[in-house]
Amino acid sequence: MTDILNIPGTHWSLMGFETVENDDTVPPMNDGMNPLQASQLLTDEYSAKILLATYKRRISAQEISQRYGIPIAACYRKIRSLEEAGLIQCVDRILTQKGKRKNLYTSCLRNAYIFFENGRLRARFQLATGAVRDFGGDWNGVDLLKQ
Amino acid sequence: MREKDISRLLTDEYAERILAATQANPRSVQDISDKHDIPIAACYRKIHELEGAGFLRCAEIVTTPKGKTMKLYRSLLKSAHLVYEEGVFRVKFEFDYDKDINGKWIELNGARTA
Repeated sequence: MTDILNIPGTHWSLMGFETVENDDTVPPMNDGMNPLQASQLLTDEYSAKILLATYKRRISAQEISQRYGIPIAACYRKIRSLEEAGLIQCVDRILTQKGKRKNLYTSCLRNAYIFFENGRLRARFQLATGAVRDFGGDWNGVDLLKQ
Repeated sequence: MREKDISRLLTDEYAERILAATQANPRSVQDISDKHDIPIAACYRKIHELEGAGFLRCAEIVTTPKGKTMKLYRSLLKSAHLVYEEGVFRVKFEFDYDKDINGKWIELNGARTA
């Protein structure tokens, strides 16, 4: 979260990262959130880092913590809240060489839109499954691509 | 203030309420604190933060019947858009006055910079 990098023509999805296969076991999204809570999942520093770390990748909490400089306890806590919100999921539990179980996480979030307009906040999440979750009002008729 | 800090400020519970409250009419700190259930000290602190970030402006200074002067604040932020697509965060702000970042998409950081 420290650098603003702007490389024209470089497209992340073309850089040879493995794609995540859709599956039907994605936990249901927490619909009890208000738009503010939903958008805080994205603007919170650690949550944003975790979402980026797990984007089209399978990664353990330990590795996220080390690579992104997130304290390990906070990392587990944030992973848990993102998991409860349905934005990331545990895709595998692998055995380490020491015989310890390690959860691998991947992001379920493809696109997210948080708009503050006319004094109102609303959020829309699009998941890898194609499911869409809206918080705080009507998104119908909003042309997101034109924004 | 950096753009990512700005977007975090926007999704702060009190800051969001203050911005919404001051959209239409200039309001006093006391008034915002009372109506929106924000502790008065936190309200002053957030308002100063928002003022420093260019989101709020003191629109008027009025004198109360008791002779106390009171500042009325108005929001300068028309809209804010935060978008996450293809592992990249971008933000766009529109203000009521000329500001260098007005209406421009600013890329915060992507998964590739990690």
